[in-house]
Amino acid sequence: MDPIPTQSRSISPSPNPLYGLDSVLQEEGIGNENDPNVQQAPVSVPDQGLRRRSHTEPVEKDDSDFNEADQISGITDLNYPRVNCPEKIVICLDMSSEMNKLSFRSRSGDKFAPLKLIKRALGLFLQTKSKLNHYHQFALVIMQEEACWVSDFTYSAREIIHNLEEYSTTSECTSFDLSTLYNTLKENVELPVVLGDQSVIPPSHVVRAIFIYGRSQCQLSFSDKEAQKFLESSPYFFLDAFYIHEPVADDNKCEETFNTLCDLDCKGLSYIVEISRNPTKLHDYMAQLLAHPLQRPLQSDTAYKIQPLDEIR
Amino acid sequence: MEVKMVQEAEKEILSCISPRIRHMIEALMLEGKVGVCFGKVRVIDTLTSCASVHTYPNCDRFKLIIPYAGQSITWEVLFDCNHPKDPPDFIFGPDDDEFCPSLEDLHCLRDWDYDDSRSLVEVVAELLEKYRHHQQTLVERNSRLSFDFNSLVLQEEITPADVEIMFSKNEHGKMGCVKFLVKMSIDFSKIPAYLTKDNPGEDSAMLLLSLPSPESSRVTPQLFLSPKVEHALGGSSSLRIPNFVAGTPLGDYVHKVCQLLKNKVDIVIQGHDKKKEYLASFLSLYGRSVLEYDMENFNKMSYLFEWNDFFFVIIIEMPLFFPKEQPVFTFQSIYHEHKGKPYTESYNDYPYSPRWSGTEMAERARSFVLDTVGIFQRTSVQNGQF
Repeated sequence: MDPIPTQSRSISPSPNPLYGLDSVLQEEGIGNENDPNVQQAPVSVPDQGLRRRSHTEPVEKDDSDFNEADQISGITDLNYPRVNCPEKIVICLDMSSEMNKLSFRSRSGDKFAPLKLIKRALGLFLQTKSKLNHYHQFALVIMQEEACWVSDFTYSAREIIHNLEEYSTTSECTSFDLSTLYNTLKENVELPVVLGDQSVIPPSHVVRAIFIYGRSQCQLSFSDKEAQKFLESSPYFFLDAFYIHEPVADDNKCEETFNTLCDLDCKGLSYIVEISRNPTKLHDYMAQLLAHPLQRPLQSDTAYKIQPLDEIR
Repeated sequence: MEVKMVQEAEKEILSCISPRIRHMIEALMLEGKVGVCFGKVRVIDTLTSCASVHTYPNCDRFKLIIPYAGQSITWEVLFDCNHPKDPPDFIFGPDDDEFCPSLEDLHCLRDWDYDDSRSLVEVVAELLEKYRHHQQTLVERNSRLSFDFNSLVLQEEITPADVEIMFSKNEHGKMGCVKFLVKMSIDFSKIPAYLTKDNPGEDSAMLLLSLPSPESSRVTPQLFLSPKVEHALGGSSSLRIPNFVAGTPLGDYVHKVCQLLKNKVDIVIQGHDKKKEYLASFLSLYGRSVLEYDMENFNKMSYLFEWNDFFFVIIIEMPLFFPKEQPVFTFQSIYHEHKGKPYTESYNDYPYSPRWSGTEMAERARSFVLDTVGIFQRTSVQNGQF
């Protein structure tokens, strides 16, 4: 194999504003296979054969092929400084009856419904997010046949958690049109406008929707993409998806649904996670969504394992 | 350009003053900052010299309260609204019989320009400097005080104009309490902006040294910092001045305090650069699991780590006096809560040396986290609810 050339850019294609520290990061050559300091990203093998389609091409990527140039070519219009500006996070929670099926099982054999676990995980997520920056704000959207804006932006994690508790009744749903989600978002969020050099001037905030969807049986439709186009035209809008599903089988729509969700990732910057059965993993993935969209690595570049230096070499 | 406005109380006073001279008093209120402490001059007790009541407002005499040596002195200023272009007369305080500067020395009065609204401001500043100098000559009559004064101006940070001296007379009419207000020349300009942005205003550092009598060896020092500086250096709790050892020449003591402040400033400035280096080192090693980091002031960063399938959050917070003080590491659970909040454990006494490079600190942090995560996992499971 040819030696990987030293990367000339930092981990994300966006310009690195760590004034004068560019050289520090460049020399470290993040992603360089020969660098002993780099955490090795595990080759991602999702449960039940749900593989996230790469944004650019269908080939599998494993760590030895990691080359930032490839990452860059597939991504459009990255134009923001890597600042931890306040986030306006919209929790979009699916309240279909599938969310109340006892499909999760812990190691001790206890059974849980995804809704209960998600609420717990969201509670931890919201409190942690507030602790990282108390200027983050949170709002709540509930989805059944349509998306419905139920709780406006608040700095108080407690308030959203309390409001979440109010929602426990689920209902049988036959369909979900993603247009209603994007329309609701468009109507209720304000995207910042930055005048001047967008790669340097920080926005007042960013908007991130976390789409938590739990249906294996009914496929997602997407009738009208106008609102999506509008929102995605802003460099400060992000959508992450959290898909909770049954094990993939011929008689369910998990694979198609997951692919639809992956297609929502227009710019290649989203975090899309999928989970079934495992309560611990549900919490793990929720924690991964803590990362600030302007500062986090691409999902395919993430590596969380911490291990002694000699084990890395 | 900032448009300055007189405050409400001042407006009232101003409205009593004869319009023929008002422009000068207004300029005094807006721009009259004098002395070592660069303090505002106050105008009170407006009166008129006119016998008749024909034109109102017509006040042309008033008192000035001038900050000096940590206290204030009161001078009377006498204009004549019937001869508005004449320069004013001044009457000084009753204890200042000997203060009588000659007209030849007072350029601002000699070259009085009625049309220049700053004329009064300038005359007051000039007189105050003369007053300060006068106090200095009084001090020089007393050998002990003279010694102290000389020790002050010997310091490179201090010139005679930086020292305001005030005597008060005791019940026997002799020299009683003596106060020295000393302005210390310290460069605060390089303090990082984020530390000062909430407290705009000037930079100033002053020491007030009080002696109960000229012969006393007991000196009471007090440090005065402008809000901007005090906040930037960590607040009053981190700014203790040393006790005054009896017999120390004043200059030596002031020099010591100056050094202390300069050191603090250096620590804060260097700390900023060090924090940046620390952040960069961490990002280069752990950037692939970063959650958020403070790109403005480098004061906080957080990571998500996985160890044996156990995920946890690390939040790192930087102290003001980094690297002398070490950062606080907080482990936070993503599974367990304790009393309704995510379970956390904080550490600030892990192996650490301020002399390590950023990279070394980041590597040592890895070891510390690996050594501690097992314990954290156990206690979070024991103490928390899932």
